[in-house]
Amino acid sequence: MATSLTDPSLFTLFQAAPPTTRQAFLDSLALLFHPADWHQLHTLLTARSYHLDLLPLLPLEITIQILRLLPLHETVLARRVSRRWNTLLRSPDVCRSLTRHFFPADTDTETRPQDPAHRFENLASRRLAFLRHRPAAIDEFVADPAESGLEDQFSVDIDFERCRMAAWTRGENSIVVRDLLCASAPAAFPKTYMDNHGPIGEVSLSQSIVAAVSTTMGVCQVWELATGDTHSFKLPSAVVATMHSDGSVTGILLHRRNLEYQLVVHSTATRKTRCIDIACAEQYNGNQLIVHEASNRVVHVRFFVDGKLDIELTSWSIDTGKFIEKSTQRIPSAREVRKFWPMGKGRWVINANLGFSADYMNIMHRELDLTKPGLNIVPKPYEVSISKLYRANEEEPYWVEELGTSGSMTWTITHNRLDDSYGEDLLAGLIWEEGNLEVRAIDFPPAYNKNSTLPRGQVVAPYYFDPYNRFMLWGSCPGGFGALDGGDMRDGRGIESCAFIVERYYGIHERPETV
Amino acid sequence: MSEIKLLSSDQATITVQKEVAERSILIKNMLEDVGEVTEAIPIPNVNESVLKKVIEWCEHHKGDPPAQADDDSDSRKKSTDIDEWDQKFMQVDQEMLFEIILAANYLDIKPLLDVGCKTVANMIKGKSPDEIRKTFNIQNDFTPEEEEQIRRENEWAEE
Repeated sequence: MATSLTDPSLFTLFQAAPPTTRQAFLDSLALLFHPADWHQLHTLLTARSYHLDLLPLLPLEITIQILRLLPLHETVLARRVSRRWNTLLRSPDVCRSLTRHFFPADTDTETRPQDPAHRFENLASRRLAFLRHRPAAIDEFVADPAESGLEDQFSVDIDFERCRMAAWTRGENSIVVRDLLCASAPAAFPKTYMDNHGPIGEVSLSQSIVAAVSTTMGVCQVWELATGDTHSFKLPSAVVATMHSDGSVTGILLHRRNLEYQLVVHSTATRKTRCIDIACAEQYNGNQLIVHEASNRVVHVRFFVDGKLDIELTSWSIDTGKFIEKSTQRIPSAREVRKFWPMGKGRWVINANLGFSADYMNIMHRELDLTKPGLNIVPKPYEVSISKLYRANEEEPYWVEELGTSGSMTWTITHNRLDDSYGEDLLAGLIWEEGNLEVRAIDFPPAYNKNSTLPRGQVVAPYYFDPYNRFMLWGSCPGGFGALDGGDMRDGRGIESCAFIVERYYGIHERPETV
Repeated sequence: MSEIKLLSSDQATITVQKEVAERSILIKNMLEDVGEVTEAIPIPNVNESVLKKVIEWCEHHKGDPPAQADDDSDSRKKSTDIDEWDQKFMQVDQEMLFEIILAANYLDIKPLLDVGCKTVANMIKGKSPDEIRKTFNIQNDFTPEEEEQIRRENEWAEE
């Protein structure tokens, strides 16, 4: 029989008792508790069982599900918690899974086997530098826009998959193809191609060719990138609506008259050119050409705006020039860009801004996958919160100038600034990625913010964001939008200093590819 | 409304509406396979208190529309937002939270597993390594040198 509360036999009895007896004992003991005892008990409970090192104890698939809910940088910073967390967060399984989650567009871009942790760190560090605007290098090179500072007048095309750019420079009337990842040191690129047929209106670049159409002569000249071999062919008209190249095939849409168009499809491999007449019943508000050599199709996209945006896709066979099929889609918004953006590997994306208020923007994101049969556009709607970045101003809604996508990154260019410090219309932008919607605000032009030696100009477009965050590219001209009427474009300084500016980003385990 | 019995790991029998129990895909499939059952269905991995808690959740969510097969982008969009009732429901000690997550996983109740994961993510989100240690009562077992090295290695991720 225990005679004192410190008697060890009391504890032995308690330990040996079955759960029901223990519970009954605790129940009756609790009746005798003084408030101070309850307080003490509460302290004990808080200290003991309320804490658990949950993450490493859970089954791995659940741990991964939790980690995927964290912002990208926190999945890295949490390595500092303890040895266990460090081991867990560097493990191949976790790194592979985080890579798949945060970088869906990069999943199949691995060219050589890499340690999963290194691969994740490379992609994550590049992405974070990109979102935080900390480029490893900034380069500029001269480019002459066809008209001073006007948007859409840069003759330029980007091959995102190979990070190459083709641009027309007016001074020498030549096309320059550049590797956007290489520093400007001489290498295989830049390569310059001269044209003999007058000023260039449109340029298109594929993995193997660059094609250019002269505005006055109605001639298309094609260069093979590997050999430099060139040939040209005459076009039935010189009014190019749009063009696109893929592999060895170039598609050119020519405007004949009013509602008549002609589609020219040229293969560099066979040297064959086909003409397809296109007549439309009604006027449309934009068109685009997408050549996809792998599926032997050329797709003509027409956009009709009438309150809603109607997209009409028509495909023809590259080999035979025969009509394949037609499909139409409706998007409940006619605003913003009417353009499919390349995501690489035969996939294209179109965005529509379905509406916005002071704190959100509703984006419709649709994908056209040409590696699959048919011309289906698959919707992927999502919402983007912009409240942190823009002042709330219901009266002055965001006028979205451009809404583009490459890979999993989407961006907008708007005419509202991020703050009130400027009265005039200047450009600002947002960039985010679909996966976890981390939004970065961009003040255009981004580079002259901090001690930049670049000419203080304005972005005049185009702007390109690499889907893999390796580069960001934009065109800049002094004056630009606001100064177009002021005449300073004509003072001899303006046109010559128009430039393309490339920001390059590297992963922490990557070396800049210099020669 | 038909009822079924569940038998917890500590041998407690709990009677529950069939509709409620069928929030668990494991139980739903089991019932579809065996048809009518009169005996209690053993749930050997879950004890009484956890099972009761899980049933409480299923009761409240019995009318929810079934989860979309492809709600991936949607769930990522909302990331860690949790419904108010669920937030209150998840205000339990970490051991219970741990048990609920394991039970939801075992019983295949995806929405409950999601709420559990979001709750844990919210406990980590926005915290410094030291605050995370405090939250989960984790010992910092790095030597000062190691800690400094690991900080430097991962410096690029800092804001």
